[in-house]
Amino acid sequence: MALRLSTGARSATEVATERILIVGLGGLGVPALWTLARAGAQRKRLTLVDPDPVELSNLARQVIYRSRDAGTPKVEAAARWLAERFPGADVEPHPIALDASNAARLVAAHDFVIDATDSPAAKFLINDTCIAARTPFVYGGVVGMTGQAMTVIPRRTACIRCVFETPPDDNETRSCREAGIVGPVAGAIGEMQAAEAMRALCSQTPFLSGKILTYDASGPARVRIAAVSPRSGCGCGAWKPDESR
Amino acid sequence: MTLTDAQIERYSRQIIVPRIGGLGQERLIAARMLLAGDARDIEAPLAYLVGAGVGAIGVAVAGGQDGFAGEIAAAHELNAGVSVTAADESKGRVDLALLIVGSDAALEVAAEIASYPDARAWVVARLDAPGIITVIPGGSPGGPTVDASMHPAVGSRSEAADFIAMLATAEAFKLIAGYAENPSPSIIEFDGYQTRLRVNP
Repeated sequence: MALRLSTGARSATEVATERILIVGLGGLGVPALWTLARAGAQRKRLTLVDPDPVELSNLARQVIYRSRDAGTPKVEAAARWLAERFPGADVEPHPIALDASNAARLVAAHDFVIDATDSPAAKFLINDTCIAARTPFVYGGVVGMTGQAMTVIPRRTACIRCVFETPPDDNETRSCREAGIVGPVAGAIGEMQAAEAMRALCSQTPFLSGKILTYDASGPARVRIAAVSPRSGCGCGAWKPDESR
Repeated sequence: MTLTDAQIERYSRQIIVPRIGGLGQERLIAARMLLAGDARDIEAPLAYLVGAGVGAIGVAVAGGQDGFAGEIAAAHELNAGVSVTAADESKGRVDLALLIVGSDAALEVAAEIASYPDARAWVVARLDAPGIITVIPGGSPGGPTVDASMHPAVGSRSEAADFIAMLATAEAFKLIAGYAENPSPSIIEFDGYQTRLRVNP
């Protein structure tokens, strides 16, 4: 199902049964889930996808999990936390990886997707699947003390391939396992991703559609938002010939 | 102090961040801090500070502690190695006070904490539009003052309020961990979500 962004904005309390898919329940997915829950999880249907179990090293930044959750699939621990803290929440946990065999089906069943993964391959899969299904999504990434977020409205705004073209080689990327990660930096980006989802589902234009937010905490906090244009060679359909003039 | 194997495992992803390291983690674990604001604005910052291993956190909740018992219990569940108590039980030296001001009630609580003589460093976040974070490292001569951050009265809430609160939490984390060698007093001003920095204002 693809969300239509209309001009008539609805308030957050009017959001009824929109379905949000969160892919990744780690450093980004946890704050995104928490933010959505605080904003009224009872009025949203949340699907959580992540194949990994909770590990002790997650607890410093994935702050909804507990030591006793170690070994439990993250999506199950997250669903339990949600049920305890926000009774009535409609949540569907899938302890699986999003991959080529299930991505189209999962994305098609949702109105908005939050990309909270930490793998470039997964990010490009989400991008391509959402473009094909015309489902809006928000990209997020964080490594070390920096993070990024960008919302993609298929065929209207630049997509991930417009910006990055192709996934980097494995040896070009540093995951948080290698480069480290700090909880509040990831928390800020995940919170921003959830806010984008809520804007979209309230029929508002997401703040970061066609823009990329960069948060650099390696010095005093610095946040920049830059416009990103669709790329003519990208097949996402957002580029229009008259934009080149 | 020496980090235990369990602590190294638990905090490994932040320990490996350049300029944090084991020493930064030891500073976090040894730290005592105060956190003040409205319950809704300090709930997530508290969780992240507890998760990061900040040793002792005194909490001052605008409107009273009564409605915050669940959050404090959740903090203990998240990290049993961290002490979270009401701020008035946290007497003595405080390494940092993080004041998150999102309402007049929070302003009142923050102003009370601002008169606390033993805090060495401060981070004050104003969540009213346009939003501002004042960072006052320990021992910094001159620069912005906590008192100045308490004026004027709280206006309408910034659309980026939750984001600003999380950035303030990150600034507090960095100060406690000793992330920057010689941090300067600074004011981070927001224009929507974007920031503009004034160092040594």
